[in-house]
Amino acid sequence: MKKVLIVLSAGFLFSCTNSDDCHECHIAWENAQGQEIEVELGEFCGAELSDLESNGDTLLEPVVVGMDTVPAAYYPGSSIHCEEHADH
Amino acid sequence: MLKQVVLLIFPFYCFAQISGTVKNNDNQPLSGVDVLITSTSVLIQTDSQGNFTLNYDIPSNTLIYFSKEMYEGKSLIYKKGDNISVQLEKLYIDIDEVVVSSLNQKLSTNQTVNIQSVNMNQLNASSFDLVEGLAQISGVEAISTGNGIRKIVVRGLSGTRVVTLMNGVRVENQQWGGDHGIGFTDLGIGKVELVKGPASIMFGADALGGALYFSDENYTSKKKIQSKINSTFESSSMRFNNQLSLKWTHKELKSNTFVEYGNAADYQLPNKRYLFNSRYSNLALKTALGYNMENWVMNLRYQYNYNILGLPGHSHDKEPSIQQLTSSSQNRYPTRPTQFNTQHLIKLENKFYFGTKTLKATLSNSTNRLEEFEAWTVAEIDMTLGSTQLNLDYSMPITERFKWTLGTQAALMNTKNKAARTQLLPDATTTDFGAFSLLEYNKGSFSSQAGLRYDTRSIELTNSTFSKDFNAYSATLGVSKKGENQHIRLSYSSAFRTPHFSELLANGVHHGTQRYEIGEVNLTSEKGNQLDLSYEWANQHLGLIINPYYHIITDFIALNPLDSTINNYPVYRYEQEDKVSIKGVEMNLHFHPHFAHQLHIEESITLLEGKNENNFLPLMPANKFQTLVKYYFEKRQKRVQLHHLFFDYTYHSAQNKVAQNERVSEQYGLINLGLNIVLNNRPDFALTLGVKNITNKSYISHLSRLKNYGIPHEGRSYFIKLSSTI
Repeated sequence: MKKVLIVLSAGFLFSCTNSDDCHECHIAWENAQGQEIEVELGEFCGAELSDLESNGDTLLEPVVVGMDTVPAAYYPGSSIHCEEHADH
Repeated sequence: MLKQVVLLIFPFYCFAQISGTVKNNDNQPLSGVDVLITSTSVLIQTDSQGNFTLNYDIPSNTLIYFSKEMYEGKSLIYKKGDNISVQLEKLYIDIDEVVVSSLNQKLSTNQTVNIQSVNMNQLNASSFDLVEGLAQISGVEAISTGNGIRKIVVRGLSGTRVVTLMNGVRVENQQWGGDHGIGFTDLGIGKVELVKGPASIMFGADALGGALYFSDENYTSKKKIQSKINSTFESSSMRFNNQLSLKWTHKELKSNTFVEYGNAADYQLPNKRYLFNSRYSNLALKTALGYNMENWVMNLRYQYNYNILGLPGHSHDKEPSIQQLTSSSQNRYPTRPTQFNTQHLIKLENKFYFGTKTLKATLSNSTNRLEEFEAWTVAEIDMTLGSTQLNLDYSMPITERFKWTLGTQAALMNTKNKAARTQLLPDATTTDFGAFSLLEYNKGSFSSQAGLRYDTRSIELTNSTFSKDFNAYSATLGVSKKGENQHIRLSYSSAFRTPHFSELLANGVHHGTQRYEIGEVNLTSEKGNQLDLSYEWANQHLGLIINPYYHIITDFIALNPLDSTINNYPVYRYEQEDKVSIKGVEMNLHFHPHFAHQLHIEESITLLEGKNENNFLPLMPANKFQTLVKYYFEKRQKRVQLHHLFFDYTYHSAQNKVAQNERVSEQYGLINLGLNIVLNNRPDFALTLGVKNITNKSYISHLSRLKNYGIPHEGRSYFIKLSSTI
């Protein structure tokens, strides 16, 4: 009994860590109706991810997403979203 | 070698011995009685002959408290050389059990203020979280953001209006934020005492709504290392939590160490979907070292808590649907947005005993770092709150019936920002100083208390000339009279709360609460005055407590929504209201029928209403009706023993008394069921199996911060709790 309890405790303790530090990112742009339009930027990892989230990104040409056109401009780090959302 | 070093550092001058016997009404020895030496926090248990022994001396005039389940607790004042012999009487109703307060070392029968004491192992067996457990107490509720972030609400007030203390030290954990939880778990906590209503006389500024006073588990008196595990599992969030404790003592030197790790995935809603990012994890360490001589008791305590808390309900849409905020699959790995909360607390306590006089000096230091991340690598908010506190209390009997306590409390708190996208609050220093005088009178079953306190608080910004000073008087006056079957208490208490500098100076987005907050520099202190009456009546089979109260708060600070948005975030501004009132009544009934001694029925009712001059106050808890039925099985001569079965039903009425722009809430009732099993040959083993929300009811608490998204709490959940020595 004692051994089982110790093994169970050790197994549970520190059993969950996340090694995945790559994330899909997009520019979030708000259209005239207040809806968020996403311009996919691809997957970023490590230092590239940190650089993107800190310094933002520049769209050199307008990008058409559905009925909206996201203008060519500099988008600061706060406009770059790399977090996951629910899978709906 | 270790032993020699320890002996060198802590020389053991005294080799006296304290021993005694505990018997029942029939003069038979009582085994398993807890004998608590209050001055040194050492717990001894009587052996099969009802005897107990402690192999060293303790301060004279120490209060020793004897307790055992289903027996009436008893206390005595220890005098050197006493032959201790105690008789405990069988008790069927423990509606207001006699306990010793860690706050002031007084028996609950002599308390003139309303202090509710709860042992951690008494908290509802179906609770998995410290705050969830405390919310079972009448008059107490929790504001929640999913399951990971919970804040205590006492009689409708929370946040900076409720002071939290850990072993007498104020826990400064950035409680100004609506989404900042209590920050620690029940690890190593033995008892919590709850002061409902103004308590500035004891705790100074901010104790307007009440105070939670947590006390660590006692030390053991056994030489051999005592190790124990507590493990829990809950199916809705696939949550597991493991705690390991180690206790050790060698004569006057005592040590407790506790570690914990818990992890929860997104919880399952009644419709079988999962609330995205309601996941969280916690890691904690707590250790205490105690030493005493005949006239001196020292305790050094340290605790560390690290929490990773997902913030559910996050969306970039203005009005997201529940479908957008929930998932079809369950995940437990940290995502974004997430709060990281790190807390260190160290405390050195010294108590000196000069005959009947006592001097207590406590020095503590804590740091709390709060990081909120919406991006993966750049923090939105990164703030550290450092706090250093010094408390001095001196108490002395003036005559046989009068006791006088004088005290001072000083604190220095520093808020510092680190590099982050947003700086919601500026860097600032807060300095507190308070002094109080408390006079107590006890004659037989009558007790009274009168106290006065003066406090000052100064807030200065680091990078600006802004500074603000506050000062206030607080008072308390109370009487208590205990009869054979009844006990009545009446108390008046006042308190104040200075505006937090988030309320004075906020000007930015608070991502945790998803709103743009604007402060008001001209806010003044809130002042609270409460009248509290408590009447208790009990006989062998029925117990009843009725506790009405009326609390008036002037210059109440409210965070009111404005009809505008900034960067898509709704704008809220701190404003001051002339006067608000909170009135309510709490009732408890304990029925233990004569024809079925195994059956215990407890009912508690909480009714509350908060109003300003024109409207109801926001976030006032709905009325609550709780029924707990416990059936204790007859003891059998088998290895596995069914100990008790419990059934609890909690009904929250609809909350239609809401503030302007606040949503009403629907009524709901929850049923939990559980079975407790013990092993007759292993008294420290206990297993509890059960089901929470057995009907899979979809419900939303009025105090849920996810209420506006229509996100319900968790659905049916199966649980296992295991506790055992190893």
